[in-house]
Amino acid sequence: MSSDDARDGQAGGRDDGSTTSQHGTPMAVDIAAPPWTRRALTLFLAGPVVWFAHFMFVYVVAEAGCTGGGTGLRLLDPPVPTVVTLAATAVATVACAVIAWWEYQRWQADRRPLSAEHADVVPESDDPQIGGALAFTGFLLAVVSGLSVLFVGLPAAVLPAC
Amino acid sequence: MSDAPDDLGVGRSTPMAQRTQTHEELDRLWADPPGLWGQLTAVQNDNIGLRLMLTGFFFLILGGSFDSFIMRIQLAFPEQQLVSPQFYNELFTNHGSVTMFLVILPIFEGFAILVLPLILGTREMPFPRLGALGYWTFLLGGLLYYSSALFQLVPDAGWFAYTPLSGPEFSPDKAIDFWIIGLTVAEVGAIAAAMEIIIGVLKMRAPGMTLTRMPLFAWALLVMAFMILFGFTPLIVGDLLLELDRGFGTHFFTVDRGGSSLLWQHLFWIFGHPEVYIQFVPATGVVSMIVPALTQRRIAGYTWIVGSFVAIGFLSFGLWAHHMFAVGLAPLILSFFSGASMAIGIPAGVQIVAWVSTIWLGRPRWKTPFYFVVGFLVIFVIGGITGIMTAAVPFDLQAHDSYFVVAHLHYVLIGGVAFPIFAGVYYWFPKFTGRMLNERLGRWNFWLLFIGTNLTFFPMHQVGLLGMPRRVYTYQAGLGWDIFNLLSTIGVFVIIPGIAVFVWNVFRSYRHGEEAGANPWGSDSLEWAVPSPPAEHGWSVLPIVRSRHPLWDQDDLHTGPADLERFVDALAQWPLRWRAAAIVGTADGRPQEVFRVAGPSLWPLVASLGIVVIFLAELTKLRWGAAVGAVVVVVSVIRWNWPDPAPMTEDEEADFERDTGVPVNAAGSVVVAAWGMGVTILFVAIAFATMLLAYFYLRLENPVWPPPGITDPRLVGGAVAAALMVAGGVAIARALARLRDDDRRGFLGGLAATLVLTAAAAVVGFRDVAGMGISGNAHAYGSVVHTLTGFVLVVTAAAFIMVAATTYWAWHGEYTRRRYAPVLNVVRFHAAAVLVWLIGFGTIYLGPYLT
Repeated sequence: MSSDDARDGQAGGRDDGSTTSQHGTPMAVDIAAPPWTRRALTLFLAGPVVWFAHFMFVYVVAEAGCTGGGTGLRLLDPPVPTVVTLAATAVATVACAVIAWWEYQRWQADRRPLSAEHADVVPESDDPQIGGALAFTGFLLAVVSGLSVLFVGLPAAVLPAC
Repeated sequence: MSDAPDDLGVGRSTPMAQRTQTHEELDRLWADPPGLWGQLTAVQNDNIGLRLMLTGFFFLILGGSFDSFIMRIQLAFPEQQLVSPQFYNELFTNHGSVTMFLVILPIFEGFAILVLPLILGTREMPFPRLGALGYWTFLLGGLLYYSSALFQLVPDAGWFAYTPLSGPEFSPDKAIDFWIIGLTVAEVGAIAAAMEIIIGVLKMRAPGMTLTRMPLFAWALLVMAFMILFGFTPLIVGDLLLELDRGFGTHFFTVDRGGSSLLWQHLFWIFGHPEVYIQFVPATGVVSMIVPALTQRRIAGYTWIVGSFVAIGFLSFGLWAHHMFAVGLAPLILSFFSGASMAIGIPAGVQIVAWVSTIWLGRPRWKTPFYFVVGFLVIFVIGGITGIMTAAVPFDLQAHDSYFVVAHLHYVLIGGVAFPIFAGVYYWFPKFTGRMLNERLGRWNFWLLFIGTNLTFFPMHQVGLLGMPRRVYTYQAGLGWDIFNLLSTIGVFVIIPGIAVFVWNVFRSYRHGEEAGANPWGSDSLEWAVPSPPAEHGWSVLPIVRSRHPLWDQDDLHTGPADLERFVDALAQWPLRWRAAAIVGTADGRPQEVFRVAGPSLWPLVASLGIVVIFLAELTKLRWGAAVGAVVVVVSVIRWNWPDPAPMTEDEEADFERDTGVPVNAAGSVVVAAWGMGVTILFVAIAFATMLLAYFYLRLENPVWPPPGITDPRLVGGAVAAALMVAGGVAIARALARLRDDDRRGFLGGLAATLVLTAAAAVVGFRDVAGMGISGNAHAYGSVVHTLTGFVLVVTAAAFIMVAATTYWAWHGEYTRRRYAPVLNVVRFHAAAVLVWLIGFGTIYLGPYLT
């Protein structure tokens, strides 16, 4: 509104402590969401996301290869589902391993030299910028996702596709 | 302030929330209006949360108990004729539908809305009016479903309503319509509450409460809410398709017209299996709060449990076809779902080890909540192991559709979910009533339920392995099933007094229970620092969290870094004329914004009535009524979002920000609104993905696509419409840029151009598809093309209405280059609508060519 405009005009870029009065409301908040938050959350969820992507991919290929009778889908007739499943499983397992290693490194970087018996008494720093407990949980999630990828994909080595 | 009374001899005093002179003023400010009008307009989290829970318990008594009682009496002895086969079908359908849709979900969403603000150290949930909408639609949907009994049209096709049994051919009357429509309305309510919970947990916490200091119950509810969003949305789409088949003559599920009955099974179980975990995950959250409190030991493996919640959330979406092992899936597909079903045992096992370790390392106090937790561990482990058994395909092929499965699911849902609910009620009752539930009655309650549950359901394993199928209204004598069925019926006669004792305990203790202090269990989480019962606003001074166990590790809840202390002190004193709440960073818990939480309003109730009218119009076949309902919904949503003059000047906002470093947005939050829009777009995306899945599944089922006699679509009209839609998207983005440059005329011009271009796109797109001459009633191809077109046009219409409302408000000078957050949200939704248009019509036009 007009009073706002006038103040902005007078301020002329002077930092009066209120970011919003200079740059508008959404700007101040966008600045407050630092990129490391996104990185921490992305890595945290990366393992399960790889698992889900792998699962849906191999399922859709198998469904298309085994159910489809249309002209365009001959491409996916057996043994394509088996080959695709095994290849995707290898890729997804490696991806989970890489994410697990990355999160493990981030977690290690944040560890404090505490004796084991007091480890749970001292509040941890929980700094997602370094890693902290979120990184350790991300590591666990990547490990369980990798195991689950193997559970889902390995039977393709011994079972017929359709 | 005095410390918490320690009447249980725990030997530990815990810090209390600070009380300020502004306490009464804040309490009045946050209270809903009194009387009936107050109840109709209420939005306060205590009120909505409690109502959701009570309504869930009401449906439990109605559907869970009554039906099962009659069924067990009927099955007590062989060849009884107490009820007819038809009535028996109605009983088991109602029992499953009510307990799965109308009982556990509202109870946990109610728990969430009731306790989350206190647990997280904040004053409210982010969208109180959305919470109210969630409650009203849930209640009205449940009542609509139940009203089928008044017309003697009780659904009878089982709680998963398999086609073709539930289709128009085999269920021609309106019973299944009641099932679809009533439950869909309730599902809309569930999704509304889920959105509220997601944003509440991620953005509204105490300063300093990082994600990894968050109580496990909040983690569990966060995972649950995401699962509701991802699970219920496909079901709503599935319900829509089934109703189209039943009411409009489409052929999604008609096999000889290119449809697929298995498509329904997929759509149902994509919801149906996660649904079990939607109920189980929050239950484990309750257990994870009670175990440390009643063993006075920090939970072992906090990060492992968080990982388990998230892992279960993801893995549960890869299990759905294990309900379909017997339908003839390819061996490779069987192995995928079998492998995933076994893998989910890993995180579930990790949780069990963490709880048992905590109990082992701590000093358990055998109070009623702890009894229920131990009961949960015992019963759930049995149910989990039989789950792993049925995950093995060869075993499942034997046990499928037998009483073994009935035994398994009741062990999981009663042991894994109902017991933690009872534990949670015993645990949190003192916080919200100020009185303890009676311990002696609690023990009776527990032992009757524990013995009754095992007596009822354990014999079902045996009778299932002996071959008794589920859903038979009677059986012949001499098959070796008699004794097991009799034992199960006797078990129900033990469970019923168990529930009666619970109800009596709640009624009695509410008035005459022993007075509870603020922290009767000596717990570690924030809700126990405020008085019991808490004030309407919960926290006068927000807590500053420095530990995962603030009440055990912190001497004072309001000290910490100087900037945070300044912030919480300032927020305790100002503002006192509007409901202010703090938003924090998702991961780091640093304050980001202070915003005005919405107050009481009648519009959520009106909007839910509008939603009900839309569905009632289909039920009564008075389809013009749907347009009336849609208008009511649109008008009430616009009214409830009507810009309210900010109760303060922009200078006052800037002053607060200068003092504390945290921006104030009294005209409406930026962060919460952006998240709300993000989650809304996610909801649309999930529904859209489900529609696409239906398209491609039907494509796979049909060797010839389109069917003979229909030519491939011509691309010119589609390309023109797409170009218009994209131009509309560009126009609104340009409008926003003009607003940022303070060019009001350019801003209004951009909005007007958006409206014109979007409307033109819709007209051209609609006419082109209609001009293709494809019937929606001849083949599944036409059905899916018309439905997908309708979906895209509805999303486009929503985007159009948003731009129209924005244009109106912009015309009246509502937005400035400083306050334009709502415009940003409209731009975001418009971008999503353009994307939906391109992918949706791209599939319709290019699908026949590409495949």
